[in-house]
Amino acid sequence: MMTLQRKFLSLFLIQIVAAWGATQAGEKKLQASSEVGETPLRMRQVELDTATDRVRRIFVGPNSNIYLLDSGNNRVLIFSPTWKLLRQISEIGQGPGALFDPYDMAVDRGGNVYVIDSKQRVQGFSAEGKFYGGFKYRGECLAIAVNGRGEYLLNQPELGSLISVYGPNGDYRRSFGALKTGATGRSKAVANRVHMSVTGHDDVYISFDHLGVLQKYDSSGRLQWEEAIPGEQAEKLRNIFWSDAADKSKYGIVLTTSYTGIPAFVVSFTTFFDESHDRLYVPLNDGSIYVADGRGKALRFLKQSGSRDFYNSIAVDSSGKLLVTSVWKGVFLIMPARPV
Amino acid sequence: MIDRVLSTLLTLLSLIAVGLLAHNYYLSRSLSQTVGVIRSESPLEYGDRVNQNALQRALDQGGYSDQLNSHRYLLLYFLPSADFQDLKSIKYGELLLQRYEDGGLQVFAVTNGQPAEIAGMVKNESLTLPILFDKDGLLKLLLRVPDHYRHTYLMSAAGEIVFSITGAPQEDTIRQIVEKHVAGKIDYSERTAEVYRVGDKLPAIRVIQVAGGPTRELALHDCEVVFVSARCTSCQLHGYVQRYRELTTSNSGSAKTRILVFSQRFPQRELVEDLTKGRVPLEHIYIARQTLGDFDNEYRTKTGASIVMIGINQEGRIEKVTPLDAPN
Repeated sequence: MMTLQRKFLSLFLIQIVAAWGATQAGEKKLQASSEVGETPLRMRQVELDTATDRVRRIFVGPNSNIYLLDSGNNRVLIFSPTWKLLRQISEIGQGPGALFDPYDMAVDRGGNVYVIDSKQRVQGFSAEGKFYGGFKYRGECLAIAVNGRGEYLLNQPELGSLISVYGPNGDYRRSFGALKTGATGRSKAVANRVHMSVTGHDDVYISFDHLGVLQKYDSSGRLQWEEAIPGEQAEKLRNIFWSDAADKSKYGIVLTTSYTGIPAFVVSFTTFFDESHDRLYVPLNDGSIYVADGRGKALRFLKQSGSRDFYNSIAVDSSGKLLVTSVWKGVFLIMPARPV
Repeated sequence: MIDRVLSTLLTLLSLIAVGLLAHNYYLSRSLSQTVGVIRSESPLEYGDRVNQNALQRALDQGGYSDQLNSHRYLLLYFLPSADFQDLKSIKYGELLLQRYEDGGLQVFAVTNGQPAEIAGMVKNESLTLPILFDKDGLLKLLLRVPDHYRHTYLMSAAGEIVFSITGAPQEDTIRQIVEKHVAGKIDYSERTAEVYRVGDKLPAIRVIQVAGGPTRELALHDCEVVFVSARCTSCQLHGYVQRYRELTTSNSGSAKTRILVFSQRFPQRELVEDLTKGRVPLEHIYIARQTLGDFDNEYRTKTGASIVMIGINQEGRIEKVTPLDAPN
């Protein structure tokens, strides 16, 4: 009898200590998030010698050429490092080699371009603009990346994993990344919508658009770490998202603002890992850019004063300057060039 | 006696059944001849072909079959009714026809709506675009248009589909497609949205009152326009109405009249229902019948950007633009 009482007592004490520890850890985490500093930014708009409409992706490819996905004009533009327009790849259309409302683009190490569009196609073009084929994928996919093995990484949560990997001919090879629970049906696709940045070693950095969560996977698809984007706004949006997921909303997510028919807030729009400086950049929906290191440790928020523009894509040019794109306003250089 | 009556009735019923079967068989044969080979029930896609004779026959419903000989491309807007969304497509179709008819383009609005309703819209809006009443549903069947009857096709006169989209495409999208196929060159410099800045004069905008009535021009002077622009046409109306009520009852110190204008993407019927439910007086509430420059941006769904308040001075110039929080 005495032994049983002792056991209960020790369990009770352990629980109290554990609860206290968790509270302390939570407070520390909260403190840490509020301690992330801010660096003021200025933006300088890049004057382009052609009109663009809804630029959705920027890449700096080999030869330091800059690739823009000019989605409103259904084309890819390639610029020299000094912003001279070198060529246009593709144009509007629904047939092979044409683009129709393209969502995302990836550029491989040879400068070849891969585009996904609303006709559920992955289409490949050489750096010279020659169309060399493509394949159709199932379900919804808003993000593509390519790795050094010539494989395509598609964000297709409806298939049951975060990322599906296809071979160069569109043959399914494997998938990785566990889905976040809490949403069902079509909302599952929204809750698990991510953007990717692939390194030279084929590691994959991921940002969840609606959750404000970052992850790193190694080249075999093993999760290396997961971190939440700190800061009041990201936390608020994340909390709204999950608190309503359980009970209130028929969609499983909070009804806040509309996004392709499913209402949801966007926390982050894309992610980019700058290998040479070990910096992970994540543009957020308040116009700031969150910066972490390669292990996900929070470093800074880059913020503009007095602007509500937000950025949907980010890259580093050949001279190490950060470039961002605004859906409506085009391409900007971040000043100062190396803010962190 | 009863037996004889019953037997006659049975014979009659059998004859009717056989007649119906024969009629159905004839119809299905006739339709299959008309439609040609159909792979499935989904709308036709890029590269699909329709039988040119069948197309000619379907167009002949409106006396338009000769258009296949005189034009290289047909742009067909399938529109179910005479509501605002259809009007927008028809207006843009007129513009495309004006620009590219010489290049071989013909544009039709095809509808299964009520002729009287459509005729009213044609008269009120002085429309010039050919409107084809698909009363027998031949074109719908031929081109596998969904039952909701909103679809857009660009096809060659030979019956080959070069563009197919459910609903009415964005103006810039259809412009680029038409330019590619008809003109052979896409003009990337064209901007579809006008950008308004503080100090600019806001021209009179074409609106209807939310309660109904003809389209009219609303000259804006010394007022505040709360403009609601959102991608989703059916959600959040209650929230917007609530937000507007807060604005109109708040003590902001402004003596200006507040006018609420919903973008043309908001359906009138649902708006009226919501406003009535919310007991909001319908006075000073309008639905735009045109785009409102860059304020009217269906993708601006980020917080604070899908609803703006535009302050306008006595000269009709914009003096302030305030993004308002989207309702939660």
